[in-house]
Amino acid sequence: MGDLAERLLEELNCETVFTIPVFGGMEIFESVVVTWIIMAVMVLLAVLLARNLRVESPGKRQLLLEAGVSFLYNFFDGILGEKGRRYIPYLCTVVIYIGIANIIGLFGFKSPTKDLNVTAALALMSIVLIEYAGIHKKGVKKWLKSFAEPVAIVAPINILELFIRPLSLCMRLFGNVLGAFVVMELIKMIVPAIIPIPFSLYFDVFDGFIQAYVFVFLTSLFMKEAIDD
Amino acid sequence: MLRIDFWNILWTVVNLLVLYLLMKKFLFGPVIRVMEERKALIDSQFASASEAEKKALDMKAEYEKSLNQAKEESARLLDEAKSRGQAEYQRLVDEAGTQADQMMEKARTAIAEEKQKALRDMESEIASLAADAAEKILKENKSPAEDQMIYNAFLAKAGDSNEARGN
Repeated sequence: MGDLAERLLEELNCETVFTIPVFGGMEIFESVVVTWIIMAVMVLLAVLLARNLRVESPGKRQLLLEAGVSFLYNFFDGILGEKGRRYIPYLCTVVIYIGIANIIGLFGFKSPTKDLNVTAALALMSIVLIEYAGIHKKGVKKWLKSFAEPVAIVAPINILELFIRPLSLCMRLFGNVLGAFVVMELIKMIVPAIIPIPFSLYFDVFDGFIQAYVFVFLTSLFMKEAIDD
Repeated sequence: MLRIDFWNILWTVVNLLVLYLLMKKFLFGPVIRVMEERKALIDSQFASASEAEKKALDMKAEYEKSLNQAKEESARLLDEAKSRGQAEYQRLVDEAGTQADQMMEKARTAIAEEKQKALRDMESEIASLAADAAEKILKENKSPAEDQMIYNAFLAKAGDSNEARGN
């Protein structure tokens, strides 16, 4: 059993891949490197797929691409409405990134979302984007006033939400991916063959996509709240 | 795992921003632009199609109008021709009637003149017959019985000649 705990810890630890010798040693974690790999794959696929787009008589590749993009686009468009249309590409990018990051464990990499730093960064960007959308829509004065709505007494709670929202986003994603990983490792320790397949489909694939969906869904809901009058 | 490191958070933020910009440039920008262009194209095609349909309908209405006008015109012309023909016919008939009347009148006049002339002829013939008879009577100097016979013969002759002329 001690052996199992040791191996689990090793899997869970995010190793430092290399250190940049500035500012007293800048460590680069494995999660950042895997993110680079995901980025490279995504950009390469995007460039390959979105080549030679035609307005008239599109090919099969383009039709498939358009179907996928418009699926995501319409999903966010339905939540955000016309006023939030400018944020849709970011949300689409994030959902694809988290989706790939959550299931990249199947390809032998360590999921970046298993690292608290990555989910913290994602949550940080979400809350910045949410508040930016509110400021952009309402202006600073009305945005500040919106903390005292509907009544002034809830202002402390509204301000607390600024920290609670990203914290919950960050911890939800991190906890789900970590939990799914630990459960899968335990199952694989007990029964190494056949049995893990349905569990893997659930914990690695389904849960991975669901968490990506939940993350961007909540982000867009908060944004909708921020840009709505 | 639970080690929070400022630099790695910053790196991830930078990574995500770069990824966002790249994806926007290479994937979402072009794809959304293409879809919007297609939508605009389809909209413009629909608009031009409905415009063409409207134009066609207008033209159809115009054609129908002019067709109706032509129909009315032809009906009017036909009516006019008919009435003119009727008038012409009436005029001809009237003229023929007048002419016939005139001819009848002329014929009647001629007949009357002829009759007059025949009467005159007959009178002169009767006169000459009477003269002949008188001459005969004077020459032969006969008895009253003979005179009576001659007179009857004269009457018969005059009557015959008168009858023959009357026919």
